[in-house]
Amino acid sequence: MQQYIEIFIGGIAQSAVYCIMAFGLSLIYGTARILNFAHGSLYTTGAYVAWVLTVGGLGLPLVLAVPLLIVILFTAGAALERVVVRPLRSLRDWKMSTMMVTLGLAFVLDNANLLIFGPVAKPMPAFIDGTVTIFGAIISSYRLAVLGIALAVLAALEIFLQTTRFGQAVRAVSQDTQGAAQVGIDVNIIFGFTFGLSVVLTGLAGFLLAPIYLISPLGGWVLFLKAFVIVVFGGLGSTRGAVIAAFTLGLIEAFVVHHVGASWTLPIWLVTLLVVLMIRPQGLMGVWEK
Amino acid sequence: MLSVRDINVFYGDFHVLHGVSLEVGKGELVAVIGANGHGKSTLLKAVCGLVPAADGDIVYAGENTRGRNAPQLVERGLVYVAEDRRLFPDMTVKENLLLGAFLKRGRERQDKTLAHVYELYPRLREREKQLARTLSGGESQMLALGRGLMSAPDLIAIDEPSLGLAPNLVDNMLQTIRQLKEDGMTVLLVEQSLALIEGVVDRIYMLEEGVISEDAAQSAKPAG
Ligand SMILES: Nc1ncnc2c1ncn2[C@@H]1O[C@H](COP(=O)(O)OP(=O)(O)OP(=O)(O)O)[C@@H](O)[C@H]1O
Ligand SMILES: [Mg+2]
Repeated sequence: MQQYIEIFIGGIAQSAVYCIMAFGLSLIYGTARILNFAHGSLYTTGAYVAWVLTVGGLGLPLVLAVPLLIVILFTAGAALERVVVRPLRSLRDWKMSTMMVTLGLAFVLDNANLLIFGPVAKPMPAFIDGTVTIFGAIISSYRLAVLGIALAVLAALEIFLQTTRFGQAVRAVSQDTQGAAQVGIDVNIIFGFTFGLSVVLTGLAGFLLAPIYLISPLGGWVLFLKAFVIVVFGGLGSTRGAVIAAFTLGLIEAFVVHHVGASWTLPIWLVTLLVVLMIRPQGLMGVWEK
Repeated sequence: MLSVRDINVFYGDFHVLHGVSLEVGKGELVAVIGANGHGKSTLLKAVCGLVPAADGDIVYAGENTRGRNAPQLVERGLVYVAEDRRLFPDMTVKENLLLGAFLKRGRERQDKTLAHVYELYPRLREREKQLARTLSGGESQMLALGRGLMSAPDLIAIDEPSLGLAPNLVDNMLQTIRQLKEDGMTVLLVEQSLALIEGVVDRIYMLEEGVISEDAAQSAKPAG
């Protein structure tokens, strides 16, 4: 029993972080209908930037490092939209071209990270030590903190999207881009903003998982693949679908890792995905593409 | 109020509008008619900043607005209502309407306009909380026009409002549009068939393969 509580809590903590990352991927797909192949490399880059800001260089305290990390990541995402995506949007096949460019960007980031930080994984100390006992199960405090932070981020995102004027504009763009322009929403600003937000989310996920997985130049790809499975499972473009999918798959992962071994995670995820897609081709809550 | 002079519009290499010119006076109800694929929607979209015109002038309310984007034009009172509705499917009827008042211009008059739209279409008030994706074709059209009105336009460009409507609904729709004109709004209307709008509009342009001409015979008749 205790063992299952441990697995369960570990699983939902993990899920919550996957969820943040998948949310970012889904946000861009939802608004711009672009699959951002650099999402995993940006996850890794976010973790490296966090490392440099804290233990790896500047040694800033978290109260300074975290806001600075968010500003850097947001600026990078918004700049990516402005410099790379927007000029391509006048092309006829801009979605395809943009996806190819994000793939190129992924390789550039990976190699830059490799050159700058070397092939050896960087350890990142957990910013909270110790353990907590819940119903006799011993849980690391860090995992609980990660769970709390990730859930808070998700709640903030949901409140932002549902209740603020700007959040409504994001939803409007994702439901009908031309309709949004017709009512006077500046679609470019929304695209820039969602790219910024998306990079913040993936980078933050990289930061939160760094103490658990270490930071390595290609470490983001597995996470990208997972986020991709989550987003397709949940339904392309549906952030709520992504939340449900992340928790389902995260818990499956926790049990698989415990009972059969970590290398089975992705195969079992993919089988789950296949089954879901056979029953519901649009994913759990996907937007149908006309 | 609106003066379009010699604009050319391309989709990639495809030349859709060839030196199109058109005038709409303040308070007029002007129609553009033409067959499928001859560029009517493209013309309205170019006027409303949704597709770029390669050259020529678009003068609206005394300002050359070619190159301005849709949000800038909406804030100046120039609003497009799409033939394919372009609603926000997963939002409620009311959320759709309120998004029509997204910019300051519409927001300032939001409550008054909303009351007016509900008066025009009581059906929309009844369905306030329903998701737009579940509306019938006729209701969707009401919502599309209602959302456009929420932006508080001076000039509203309405693209084929009759599309997919039953004949009696088309009559209602045209009456509503006529009423907008009576209330002082300027209207640029696109339709396919002359028969539909004859006698309802002030002047008519014909658009054929991207070339425009004014239908003098029609335009000479007083609107009735
Ligand atoms: N985004 C686009 N990209 C490429 N070609 C387009 C695009 N939009 C329209 N076209 C083409 O431009 C031409 C004019 O289209 P437009 O929609 O303006 O015609 P229309 O007169 O409104 O037709 P309908 O009566 O069917 O609505 C058509 O041949 C159409 O296929
Ligand atoms: Mg058309």
